Amino acid sequence: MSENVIKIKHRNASMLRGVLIRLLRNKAAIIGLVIILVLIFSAIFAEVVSPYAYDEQNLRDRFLAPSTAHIFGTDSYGRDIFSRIVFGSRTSLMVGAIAVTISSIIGTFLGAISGYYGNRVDNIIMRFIDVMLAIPNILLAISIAATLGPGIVNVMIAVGISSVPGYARLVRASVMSIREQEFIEAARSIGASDFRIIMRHILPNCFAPIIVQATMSVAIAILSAAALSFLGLGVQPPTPEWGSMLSDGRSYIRDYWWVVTFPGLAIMATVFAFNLFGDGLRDALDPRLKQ
Amino acid sequence: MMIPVLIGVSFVVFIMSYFTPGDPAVMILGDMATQEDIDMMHKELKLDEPFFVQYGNYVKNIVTKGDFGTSYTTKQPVLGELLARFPNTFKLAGLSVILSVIIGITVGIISATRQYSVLDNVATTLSFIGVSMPNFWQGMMLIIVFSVWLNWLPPSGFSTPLHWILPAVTIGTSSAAQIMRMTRSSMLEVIRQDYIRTARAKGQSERVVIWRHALKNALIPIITVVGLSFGRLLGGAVLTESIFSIAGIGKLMVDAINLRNYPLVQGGVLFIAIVMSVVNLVVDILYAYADPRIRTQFTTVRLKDKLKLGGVADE
Repeated sequence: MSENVIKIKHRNASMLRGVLIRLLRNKAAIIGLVIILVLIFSAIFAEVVSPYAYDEQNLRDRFLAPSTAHIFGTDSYGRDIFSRIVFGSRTSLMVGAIAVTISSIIGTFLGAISGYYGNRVDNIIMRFIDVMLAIPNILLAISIAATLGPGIVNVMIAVGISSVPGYARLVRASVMSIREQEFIEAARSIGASDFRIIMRHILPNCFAPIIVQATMSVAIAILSAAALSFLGLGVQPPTPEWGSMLSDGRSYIRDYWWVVTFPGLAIMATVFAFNLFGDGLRDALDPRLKQ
Repeated sequence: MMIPVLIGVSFVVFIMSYFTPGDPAVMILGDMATQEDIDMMHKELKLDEPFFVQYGNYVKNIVTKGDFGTSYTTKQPVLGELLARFPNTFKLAGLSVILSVIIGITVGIISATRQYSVLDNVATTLSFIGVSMPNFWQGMMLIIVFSVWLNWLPPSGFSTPLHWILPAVTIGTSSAAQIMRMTRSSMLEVIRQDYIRTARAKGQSERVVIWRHALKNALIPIITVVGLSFGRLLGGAVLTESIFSIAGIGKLMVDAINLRNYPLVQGGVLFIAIVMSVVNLVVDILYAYADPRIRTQFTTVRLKDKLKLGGVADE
């Protein structure tokens, strides 16, 4: 018995190692990972990294072009744009992470139940998902945020709920393919409860697609959150957020290009990094896909 | 399939309007209204009825009278305002779809036929960047470069074809990137099939092999992505329209959000959901057109769907 456990552990370790090796060989994924790590680092140590405080106004220094003192220039209140971007990474990463947590928990739950029980339960949940899919993702987020009112928590909820359908469908599909396999039948025949079968036997086997989807959804969540903040439904000033920095700078684009360029680049780099990493992760976890 | 989904969407939209903060009666009458006036207005709007009765009224009004609600700001029916703006949004979405299909499929095929070449790598990287850019930011960048610096194209408005270029490019690129990636992977799969080798072996020109034999068979997933991206385009249009000051549904809704004019926002969501389901219907029909196998299945699938729906209705 204990020998078996060791064997299984060993096989798991080598599988994980295989995934890691494949991941590390993928240059694009590494670039993505490095950007993500840099972002997380700068979000944690924002006070150290940024040369100015994010709310330090200096009306005499309004709209300074990028220079050595302010590498990304200053905005309409004379605040250093680079510092605001660094602090903004906190908000964006946090919104991304929490929104994805919300959507993956709800989505996995719905998808697992739907895929496991099938028939009527499946039908009801999937029709519900169809309804959510009938509304474009960003519009759903906008209307939920409009209903809940502005604020960072509401943005997380809105973005999180609006990306539930993707998870639910994905998890359902993988659960359905695993449900029919023999080890599930074995688990059922020794009297394991449905809950135990789903939690211990099925979901761990759906882990790969879920983690890939989660990485990709962080990208989408950050984009949606930026869009909501741009509309004024998101994070309220003076907390720096990339989307609201874009909306602040919008009126000045004719004369001061840097005010909107750099926050947008920050969004793009972050989303790009998560997309690259997610893509690499998918190839690494499922080598069959890449031939 | 369409109708139950739309009923569901109307229910979701109704729940959202039900829980939206702020009393509609106060919003319509203004802050100066007396309590009596407000009570009268509640009666008139049937806001004193129970939740499900109100929902019933809401659906009944939409179906029988086409009444999506009344805008707080203009006191006009929401549907009228939406319909007045719809042509612009539709034109914008249509142009972007055409643009993204042309770019996406062409680049996707080129990438697939020259897999791992420099061209392929550049295109793949660009497609990643394309999906990573926020639409509205890309719009602002295009304005800075092409309107402010180069002075080639107008930064706002939607009156002449010259005005169409920047907004259509803004919305089109991100879905072009998706279509490109799907075309590439779908083509890569098809190109390795035996019938492509056969076509080449019988001396068919490469162009016909790719565009007729391969593309036709790779088309199904591409159609799916195009259909899905149309929804994204409508969603993306919301922000892009406001960047380029285009009088479309999106700008109407964004302005409504800022004025807390919720009936218009929610009416807009419902309206776009209806447009989307029509698009999905068209996509389903296109499947049948692209794949004869689906055409023959179609009758049985519909029957199955009907049976399934019957099951749900019993609940």
